[in-house]
Amino acid sequence: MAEDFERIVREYQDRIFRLAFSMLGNRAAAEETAQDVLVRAWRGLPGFRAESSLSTWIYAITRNVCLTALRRHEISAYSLEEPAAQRAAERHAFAGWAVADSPDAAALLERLPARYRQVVALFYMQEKSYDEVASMLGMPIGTVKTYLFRARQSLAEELAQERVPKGEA
Amino acid sequence: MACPEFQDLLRDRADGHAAHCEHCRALLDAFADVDTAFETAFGDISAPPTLAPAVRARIAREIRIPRPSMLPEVLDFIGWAAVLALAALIVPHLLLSLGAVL
Repeated sequence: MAEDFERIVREYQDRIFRLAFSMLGNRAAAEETAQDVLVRAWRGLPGFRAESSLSTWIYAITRNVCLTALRRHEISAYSLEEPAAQRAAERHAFAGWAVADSPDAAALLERLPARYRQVVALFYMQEKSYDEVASMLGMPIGTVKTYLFRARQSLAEELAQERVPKGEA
Repeated sequence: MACPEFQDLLRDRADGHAAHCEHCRALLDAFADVDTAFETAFGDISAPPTLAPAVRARIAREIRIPRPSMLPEVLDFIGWAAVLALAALIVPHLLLSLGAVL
């Protein structure tokens, strides 16, 4: 069992962390949650009967632990429809996104509806693998593709319009 | 999925049109900028090196400290219940035999 668990840690720690980061939007919370997920996996491993694949099982634990963390810490759900005060708190939480000195990405994410943000962030974290993102989020691959297409299109159109306002061309 | 040759043709046509159309050129540039921004921000996110050691430490703590068991309390309860039941059975007999002697 110890060897199996070490293999899970080696193979899944990055993906668990990325999924948690994409759901929570905060590095510290993602690390704490990833720890909880791996400890739960260790406890549950003796009872794991391989009825689902290992990855499906681990991603399901991750999503559940993240949802619990979101409820417990009342982390905002990144909705553009939120009231102004909550949006301000959300912007603060999004400071965690601004890795690699790229504040633009955080600003771009803020423009997207909540359901697109996680898919977009995870897609770029997972080396643009539609399959992997769909599996991690427990979502049909078609939905992942649709969300990504709409998110990229709406951002590109907004940016293009800001650069070349209508009537100037 | 179109074959690479067809994709190249599509791109050439799009590029050809964008060369004359400021709006479409801005849109193509914006698509590229969105991709670059997200690739830069999220391209190399991985678990912090502290994660695995922290998990191993938590598991080691769990193994050392076994979960508190309810068994002693349950056995204690059963023992006391048995004592009370025996007393309830014996005391009336004792009282009766004491009354007979007196």
